[in-house]
Amino acid sequence: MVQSRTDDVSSHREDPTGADTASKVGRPWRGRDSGSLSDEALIAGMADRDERAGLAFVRRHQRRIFGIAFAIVNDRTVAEDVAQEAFLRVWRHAAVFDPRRSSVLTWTSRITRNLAIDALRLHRAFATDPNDVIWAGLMSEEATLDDRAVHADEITRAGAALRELPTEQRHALVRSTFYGQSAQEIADAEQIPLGTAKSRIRIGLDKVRDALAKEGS
Amino acid sequence: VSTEPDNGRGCAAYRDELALVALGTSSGRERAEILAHCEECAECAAELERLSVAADALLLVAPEATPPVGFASRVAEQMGAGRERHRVRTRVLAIAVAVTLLVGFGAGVLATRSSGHDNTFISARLTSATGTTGDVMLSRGPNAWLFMTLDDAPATGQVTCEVTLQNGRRIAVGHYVVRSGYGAWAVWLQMPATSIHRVDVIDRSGVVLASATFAA
Repeated sequence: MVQSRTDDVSSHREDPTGADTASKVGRPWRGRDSGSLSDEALIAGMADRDERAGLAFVRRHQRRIFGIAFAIVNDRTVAEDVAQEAFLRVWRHAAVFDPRRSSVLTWTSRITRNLAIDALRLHRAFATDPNDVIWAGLMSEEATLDDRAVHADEITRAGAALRELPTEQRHALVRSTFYGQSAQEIADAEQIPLGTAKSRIRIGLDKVRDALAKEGS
Repeated sequence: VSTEPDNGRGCAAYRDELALVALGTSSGRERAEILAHCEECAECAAELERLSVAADALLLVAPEATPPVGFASRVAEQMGAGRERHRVRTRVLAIAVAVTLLVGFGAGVLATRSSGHDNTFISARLTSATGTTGDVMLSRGPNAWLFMTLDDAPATGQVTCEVTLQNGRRIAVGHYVVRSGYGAWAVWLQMPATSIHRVDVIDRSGVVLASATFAA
């Protein structure tokens, strides 16, 4: 299935074929310790409007989601608003989440990223100085990882690949990934031709893709 | 990426654009072109899938950070508040049904000699600049009830509900409070539903926030 980064809550519509979605997976959260349940089970709980499932989901992922929001907006107050709205959107649209298209964390992260970029544009405050604390955090090898994170290995490998990129490719890729900047915006900011900006983004992402494929195979 | 030609452009020509689509930063036109190509080219579709996975993993590289104390509880409260709004909406709809039944019963008694009179609701979607934001229902009969629900509307605070009649006359039928985009209320209009052309929700500065239009 073709899937792209622009996925948002709107792209997780109910499957017209009637195939299973989170709302139809039964009620595995009932009578169980929510801490031991999978994300998919918690999403099913949220689809059934179980607030305990919602609270468990927020507690499990709040540091990751708040981290993404903060990395993008660089303001704790705005990041809190963004992270809260992201979780509420997951809550409101849990019934139409399609587990075949992405993981729950990936879906929530994309929602967070899109909301954070909207917030940035609203405040017209792009944090694009490569020397600021956000870039330093992204480049840090000591980024904290929750041991229980399903994607921990993938995150580690993607982080390593990002750090190994030549500076100009890394800048272009981070601007695109975290700030949602178009190739033209990057070309303008870096004062390079549009074609060069596109190539830097593509080559950088290719290297991350290769790193994931190599280690994961 | 395959080098098979497609519509005059080889797959190599799409290499940069595939990455931009995966990152969600391409224009709508470019995205449409790439996705159309991927519908016909399995190799590019698979490549886009791989690049999307890489883009997703990259996003998760952002370092985790601890939100302010009480964050999870506040979000959970909002989830509960959403349920409460849903309950209010459900209650108003239940009242609407009850009133309909009562009106229907009364009209039925009065209209036994004019059979075929239909006492049901006519409804219209409330739309605003952000899309559909609620519903308006009017009970049929000589004295219509108006029921309105607002969901995620771009409004908060006091608003005015104004109806515009088919003859162009405008009447403010009540002032109501919208909380964070949600509200529900009912009002007895004492005029037939068929006389109503449009219902507007207007903020204190006179700006129309949402409207529902009924066919003549």
